[in-house]
Amino acid sequence: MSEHLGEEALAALAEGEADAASSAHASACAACRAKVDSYARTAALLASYAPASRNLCPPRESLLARASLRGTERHELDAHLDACPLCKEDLADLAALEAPPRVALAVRFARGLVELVENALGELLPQAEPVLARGGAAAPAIAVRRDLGAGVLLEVSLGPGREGVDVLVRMTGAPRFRAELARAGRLVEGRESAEGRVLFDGVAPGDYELVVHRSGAPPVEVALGVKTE
Amino acid sequence: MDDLAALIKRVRAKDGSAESELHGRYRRFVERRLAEARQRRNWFWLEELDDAIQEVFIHFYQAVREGKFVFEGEERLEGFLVRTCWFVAMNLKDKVPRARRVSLFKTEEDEEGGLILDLPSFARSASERLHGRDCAELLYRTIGELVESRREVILRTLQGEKVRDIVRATGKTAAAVSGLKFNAMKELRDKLEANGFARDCGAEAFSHE
Repeated sequence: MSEHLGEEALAALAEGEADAASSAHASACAACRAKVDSYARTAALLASYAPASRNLCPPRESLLARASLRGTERHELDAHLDACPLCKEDLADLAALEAPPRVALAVRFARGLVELVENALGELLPQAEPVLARGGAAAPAIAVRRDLGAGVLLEVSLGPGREGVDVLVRMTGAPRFRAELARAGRLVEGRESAEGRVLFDGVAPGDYELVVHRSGAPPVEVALGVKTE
Repeated sequence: MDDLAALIKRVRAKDGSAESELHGRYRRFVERRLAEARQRRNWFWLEELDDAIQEVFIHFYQAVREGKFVFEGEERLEGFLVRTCWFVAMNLKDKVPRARRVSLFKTEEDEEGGLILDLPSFARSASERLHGRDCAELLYRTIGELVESRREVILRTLQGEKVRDIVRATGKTAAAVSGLKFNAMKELRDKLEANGFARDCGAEAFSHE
C-alpha cells in the first residue's frame, strides 16, 4: 500500500475530480475512503442547508397564500421574505406573470411571404410601403398603424431584410420621439433613417419589446414577435 | 361562459377532445404570459417555451381532474393558469443552479463589505418544513466560529462554489484551496459533533474516521 492520500487529493476525490492514481489508492484503502466519505457527507449537509437549495424557504404555496395569512403565520412569512432575496425574487417573477400583457404584434416570415400572426396594436394597412433597408426594398411588408390621439400616428412596419427582418418605426404628428427595441433586456441598435423614422435592420427571429417614447405622453409598449420558418 | 364550464367538466371527465379545445383557447394566453415574463425578468433559463406551455396544460388538466381547480368564471381560470405558469417556471428555474446563485459576499470586488444575504437573519426566518430553524441557526453560528480563511471557504461552498471557483475568487492555488477546504470541513464537522448539532439535527454527515 502506498502512503495515505494528502488533503488535496482527498478533497479532489470527494469532489469527483481526482486523478486515476488517487482513485486507485482510495479503492484499496479503507482509511482514506472513510475520510473521503466523511468529507462528502459534510459537503452534502452544507448543500442541504445552502440558501439556494430552498430547503430553508417556505413552500411556494405559502408565498401565493400570503395575502390570506394572518397572525404568526403571516409574521413568520414576512420575516422570511425580509431575509430571503430568493423568495423576493420568486414573488417578483409572479408579479411579472400577473402583469397584463402589452399590446402584441407578431409576424411570421416563411418562403418569401410575411404573415400576420397577432395584432393588438392597431389598424393593419392594406398597402404597406416597403421597409427601406438594405436589400429589403422590393420585399413584401406588413404595416400596422395606431392612433395615439391628438393627431399622432404610430406606424410599425416589418419586412424581410438582407440579414433578418427589418423593423421600421414611424411617427407622424409628434415633434420628436425615440424608439427602443430590446430582446431579453438587451437593446438592439437602431438608426434614424429619416426624420420621424427609426429603422432596426437585420433583426433576428425572437420575442422583442418595442418601446416608443415621446415627450409629455406615456410610452407605447409593444410585445413584438418575429418568427420565421 | 356556460360552454366554458361545460368544457371544464369534460376535461374533468378525461375527455381528450375537451383538453385539445381548452388548449386551443388558452395556449396563446399562456404563451404570452410566459414570453412576456421571460423578457421582463430576463429568464435566460426558460429556453424551451413550447415545453413549458405543454407542462402548464398538463398541470392544469391534472388540477381539474383532481378537483383542485373548480370553474368559477373565466377570470379565475386565467388566474389559475397564471399561477400554474409560475409553478412551472419556478421548477424550471430550480433546475438551473446559476439561476439560483446567492452571493454571500457584497460584490466580487469588495468582499470585505459584508454579506448580501444575512445568514443569521435568514436562519432565524427559516421554514420548519425540512430542517429545524434551530438547526440552521446552529449550523450558521458554527460556521461563524471558524477562523476567517476557513470560514470564507465554507461560505463559498455554501453559495455553491467549487474549488476552481474559489481559486479564481481568492487568487490562492488549487492545492492551497483544497487543503484549506479539507481542513475547514473537518473542523466544522468536529464542532458540529461537539455542540450537539449531530445529535439534535439528525445529520448523517458524521462518521468516525
